[in-house]
Amino acid sequence: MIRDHMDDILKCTRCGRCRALCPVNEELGWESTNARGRMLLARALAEGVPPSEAMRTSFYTCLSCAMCTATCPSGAKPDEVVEAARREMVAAGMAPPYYGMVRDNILTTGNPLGERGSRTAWAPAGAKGRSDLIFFAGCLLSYREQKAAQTTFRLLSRFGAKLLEDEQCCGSPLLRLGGEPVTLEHNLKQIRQSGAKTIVTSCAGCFKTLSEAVPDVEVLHVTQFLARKIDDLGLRQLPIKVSYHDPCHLGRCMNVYEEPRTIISKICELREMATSRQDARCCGGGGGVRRGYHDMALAIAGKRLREAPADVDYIVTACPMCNANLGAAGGKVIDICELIELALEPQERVP
Amino acid sequence: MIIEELREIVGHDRVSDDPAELYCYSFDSSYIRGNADYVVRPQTAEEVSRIIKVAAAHHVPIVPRGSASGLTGGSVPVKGGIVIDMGSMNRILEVEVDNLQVLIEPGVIHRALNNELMKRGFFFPPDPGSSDMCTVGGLIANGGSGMHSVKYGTVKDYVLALEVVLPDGEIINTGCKAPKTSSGYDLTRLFVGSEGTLGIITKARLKIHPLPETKAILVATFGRIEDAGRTAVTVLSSGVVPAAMEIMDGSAIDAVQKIDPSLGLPDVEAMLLFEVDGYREAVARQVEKICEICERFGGRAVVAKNKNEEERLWAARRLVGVAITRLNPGKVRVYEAEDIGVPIKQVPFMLKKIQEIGKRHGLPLVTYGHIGDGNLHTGIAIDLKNPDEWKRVHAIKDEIYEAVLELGGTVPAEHGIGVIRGSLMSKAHGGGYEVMKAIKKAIDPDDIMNPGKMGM
Repeated sequence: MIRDHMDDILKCTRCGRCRALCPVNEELGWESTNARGRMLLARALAEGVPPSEAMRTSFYTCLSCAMCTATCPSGAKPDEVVEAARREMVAAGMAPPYYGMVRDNILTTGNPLGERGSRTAWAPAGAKGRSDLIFFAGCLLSYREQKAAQTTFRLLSRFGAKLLEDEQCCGSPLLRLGGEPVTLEHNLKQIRQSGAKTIVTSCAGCFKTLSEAVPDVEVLHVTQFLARKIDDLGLRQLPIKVSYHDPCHLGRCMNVYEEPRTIISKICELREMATSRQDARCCGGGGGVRRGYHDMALAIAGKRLREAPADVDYIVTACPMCNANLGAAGGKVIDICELIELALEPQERVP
Repeated sequence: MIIEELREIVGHDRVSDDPAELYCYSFDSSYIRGNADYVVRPQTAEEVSRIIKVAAAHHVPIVPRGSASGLTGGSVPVKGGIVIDMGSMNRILEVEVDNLQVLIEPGVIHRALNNELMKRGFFFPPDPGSSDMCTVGGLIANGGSGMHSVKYGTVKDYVLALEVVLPDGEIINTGCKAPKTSSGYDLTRLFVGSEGTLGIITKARLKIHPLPETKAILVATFGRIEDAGRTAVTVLSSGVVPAAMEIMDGSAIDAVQKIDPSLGLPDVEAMLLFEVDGYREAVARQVEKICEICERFGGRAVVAKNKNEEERLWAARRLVGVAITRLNPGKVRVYEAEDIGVPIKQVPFMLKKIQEIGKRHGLPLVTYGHIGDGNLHTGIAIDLKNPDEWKRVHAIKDEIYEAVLELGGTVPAEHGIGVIRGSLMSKAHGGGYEVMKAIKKAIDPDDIMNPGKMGM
């Protein structure tokens, strides 16, 4: 219930700092579509004002980039309040139409994309099975970025990684949109059966969600796992320059900043973007915005791309959502595992 | 229909009368609330002019608004009407470094302006703690200043010229591009600090300053808050002109630590934060002198180790006002009696007085501010749902204001009057307030410009 968040809502002194830093505010400009306005409308909801169309736009244009939470001088957490407000909108039947579509897709196909084909069509034979180390591939890699899936799995296989017998959506898309993670129980059961001690994800959204939801198992992002194994990877130096985009759910939300940089610096020259680490601007695709407000997602991605130094060969990302959105806006983007693969001896690469 | 007329001017997607949108425009950072009838987001002075003509024709209030980071209800539509959100007019139009000036639209965020100027080796010195969020237009309309005003002055010292839309829709220009003028009444300064009650600023030409060669930040700690006050007064009378001289009491230091624990500030009753800038030799000399004076009053001064520490100290200081909310779980900072100015010599007395008043009412007051220009801020955090605590807040405010006016001081020093201090105007200005009202009547006879503000 949004009322349970009232203390957090009241922490907001409406100083406007989040408003100035909210990427959506730059695009839309209305008070209702920035972090401070969302806190106000959450307050209105909690005070009993009925959900409305404008509230829907307000809450569902949030990127869940957590810039507001990271910078709030009062210590309020607008990103969590927005998720609670979205749950209220779902309960009131006021969620946007794509919420229902995502939910139906997940219920019927196990992924938000509605893909009915095999989730592991990209995987080599014998990829599934019991192991201490499980690669949770995620929906985007499984269906949209299959080359990255192969590359990542091949790297992890060196350390004995397997796939779950029947992986389904991690739950992030529904949680972010205000729903319940309907596939979580299924995945937890799979994880228990796999004997996993460590789960590695490649997607920042899966990483955040599973880190919060899976008990008694170490959940790592692939950059964390591979940074630990950096000396075993056999990386060559490449004569290229790259920049690195910090995914919000990996950086600001989970504080993983160093490991991707450790890996990249081992391979080539890293030049930071104009904003980086906790100050990094969002790619524009998070929080369901890429699905619901595609043009705005691309406009924000365009701004992010302009923050990269002009002379870099690639912008490296560590999240398939960031990869897709920055790529759609015209960026020369590469997944960090694909960069690693470029640095491997040719015989080590995915054929 | 007013909504149709507004749409005609700015287009459908820049006007709203949606209740949820209006709700968001019913607040600023104070506890004052209002109810707007319409919100409109113009992009040019001509659009502002046409909107005002609509308001005048319908006798509807006009409430200009920047970032609504104000602390007084100044941009809250307490009498309804049309809120004009100036955020879309946020361009930096000309940077003329040779003429030491810049031409801006009012919606530009203060930090964005300085980021742009710094690329060229310049800066706009008035720097409020709200630099990250406030608009320069709001800063001008409130007659604001900030941490560097002890050396560099307040915003009114930097406004060369303004473009203003009057309450009948006429667009006028005040001032000129020359660095000084003695031509006629100073209309520019009339609009600075007028809080949107006389017209809407649509362009501002501002003086800018070259960045100093170097600067140094000193942190001086004291066992007794009045010793910090005496140190500050002595530093100023010694001939040192610090670029900034800030005071924080023990609880403000706690709040700063909450923002950035790695600063490792000591647990003391008071702290002074000095900045000195200029040529290297002069900075070194001033640092020496300040250290000597701090020691004389039992303080201990340390120079910030590097640029990173300097920046972190300032960042934490800028946000201390809001961070007071973090000191006690369940309590939220409210803005009342938060901005006072007293003669510099009376600062130590006032610091002690503030502590006494807070103690007597059983609400601890966090004190910090720009001690170098006699400007103190007090912060109170309360349980917003407790009416007794609200009552005590108002009693504290009355006593602090009374003490300030007795000392020949000012309420406020930089945050403006808005709604919350309107009732003080007559007492503070006497016959002068009647002149202000006459000016208001002459320029805005129908009282459509931001009504209910400045006690009018």
